[in-house]
Amino acid sequence: MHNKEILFLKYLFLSILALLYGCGSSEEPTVDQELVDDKIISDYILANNITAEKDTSGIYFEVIVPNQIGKVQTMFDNILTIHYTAKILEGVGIDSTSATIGPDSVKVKQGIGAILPRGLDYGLALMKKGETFKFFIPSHLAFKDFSSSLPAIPANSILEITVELLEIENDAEQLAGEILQIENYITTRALNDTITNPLDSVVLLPSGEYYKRISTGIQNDTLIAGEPLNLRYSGTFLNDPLNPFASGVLDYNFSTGIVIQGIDSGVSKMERLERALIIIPSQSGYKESAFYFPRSLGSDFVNELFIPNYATEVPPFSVLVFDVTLQ
Amino acid sequence: MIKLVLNRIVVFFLLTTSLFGVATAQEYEYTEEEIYRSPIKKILNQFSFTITTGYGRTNYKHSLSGLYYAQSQTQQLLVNDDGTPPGRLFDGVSTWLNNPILNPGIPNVDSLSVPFPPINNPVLNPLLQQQFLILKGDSLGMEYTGKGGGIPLFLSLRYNYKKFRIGFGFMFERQSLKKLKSNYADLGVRDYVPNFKSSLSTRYFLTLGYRFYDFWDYSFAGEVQIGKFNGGKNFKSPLISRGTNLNFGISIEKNLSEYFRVIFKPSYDLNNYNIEIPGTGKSIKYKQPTMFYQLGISITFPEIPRSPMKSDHVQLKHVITDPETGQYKEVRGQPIHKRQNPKVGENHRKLFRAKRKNKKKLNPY
Repeated sequence: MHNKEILFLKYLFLSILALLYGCGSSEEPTVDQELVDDKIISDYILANNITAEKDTSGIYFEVIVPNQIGKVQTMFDNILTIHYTAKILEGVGIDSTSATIGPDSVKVKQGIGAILPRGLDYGLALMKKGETFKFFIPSHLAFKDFSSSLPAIPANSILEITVELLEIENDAEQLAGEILQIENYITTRALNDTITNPLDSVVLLPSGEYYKRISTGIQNDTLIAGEPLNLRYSGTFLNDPLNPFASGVLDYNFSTGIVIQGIDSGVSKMERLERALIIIPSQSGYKESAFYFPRSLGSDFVNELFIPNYATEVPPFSVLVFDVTLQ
Repeated sequence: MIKLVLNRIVVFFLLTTSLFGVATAQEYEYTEEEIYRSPIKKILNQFSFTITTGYGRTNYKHSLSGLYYAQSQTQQLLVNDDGTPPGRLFDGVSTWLNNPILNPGIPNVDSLSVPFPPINNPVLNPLLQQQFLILKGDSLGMEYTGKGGGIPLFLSLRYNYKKFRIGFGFMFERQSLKKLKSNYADLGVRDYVPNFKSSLSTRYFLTLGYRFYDFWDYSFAGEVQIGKFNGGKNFKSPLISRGTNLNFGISIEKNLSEYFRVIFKPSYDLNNYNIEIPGTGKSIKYKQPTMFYQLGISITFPEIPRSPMKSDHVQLKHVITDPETGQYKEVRGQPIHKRQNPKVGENHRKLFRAKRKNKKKLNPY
């Protein structure tokens, strides 16, 4: 075979190889963000002479105000009232709350995966009542690679959160507090006055909800489990009765777990075409929901699959008031 | 020099007169007209048969313009975009790649909003996928792309006239396509996995070509194939419509003999189809161009047969008397994959002794 032919065939073969395999995309190399964040935090602590420890979860914490004799959290005593200020490490502030216990206090439930950022959930477990801690939370326990322009949160942000633990309660204490609020609500609005507020007075159901019939339905036409129904509903908060946070019409089968327990309990008392008011303590509603901050980024966090949609509608431990009509 | 030539003429004259008594010109025992040549073979010699196989790399692409994309944990659907987003009930089209099916009355409920129940460990819970993720195809410029591979088999017959070639052929291809990827996978849009693993597609075509360059034993010809593509049993939906299929290629041929050549042919196949999306009045255009790399052989029908006598090892074309018919017939001395009338050593590139079968023989001759 001529030398020219051999050269020609070689070039042909190489070009075929290039065509077949040269058009693939190469993957970017991955960076271990955890190691990067850990170095940034430890360098920051060292540079600023901060006395901080590293927790097994990966967060760093500094005890600002200790309280050796403060009430300790337990598996059951884990409903926390907190005050916090949060910022990006060496960056801007992104959120803060009231410093005293009141209607706007932030209540969260620690240790059950209901707090975003997760690093804050881990850090709160270390605190006693009355203590103030500062947490340095790496991005993989915060918002990961999520970024926002308002507030300004760059991707892979490390958070610096100062938290004061104001109160520790359990479920029973929380419920007792809600019952007081509900009874005050009933008294203030004279819901037991059947003349100004027909039809019936308020009834406490065995499951803990408060039920008030507003208009009659078809006598004895109540529902049995599994029966299909059409429900018109409008939900408000106990402390904001004029602004519904959710409303609509829903077709579902009664008592099949499709709706929150409180609504099913109230509907069990209703007759078809009846209208009623159902006051639902948090234990029969959305309980601890999911706490997150900043509040303005709720939709973004839902799209990122950080939190469920109901967390943007119902804050933790909210008492709900549903005006329902069974059609 | 002139003296030498004259001497040779004298010698020849003396020889012929001594042998034959009379000086005569050399005579053959037959004339050109007496040699029988099959008219059919002569016509067939204008035709070449080609068979090739190889590999085809197909790029798939289609856009979701004019449609909404709706994705749940178990479904991927297309919904008509009439200006309003899908409501609580919508009609969705599934398997839109090859067999679109209208699914009416799909409930669109966000089961993680009020008044549906809460979930345990809500933060970063894997169950946070909403009932349907709905994206507007136009706003995002949504599209799906993917790559598939196939093993083709091309068969063609062509008529050769000087450097032009015209013919027809068939192609069979076993194509496999694993998945199509969305350009919005980072939003959680899943890959589209077809409801078939592979398909046997066919194509028939007319071919036009021109041999534009010859280099030693190599020939280069440009060819265009115009035809009709059939996607196979997985693409039988009446909602599919296809246009004309075009293929452009360069045939690189190594001529081993007058009749036999080995072919390498890269070619580019333009193939599209439309699918009507039921319930929307719209259709999607699917592009699936393919780059083929073919390898095969092409055989031109010989105009003369091989010598029927097995003992006949003459390497040149020569005339024999057919033992059966008694006719004078011109036959080939070489098989079709070797050159006819070769020069010394042309068909035997290796020395006889250097061939593998003869290397260990003391006397291979």
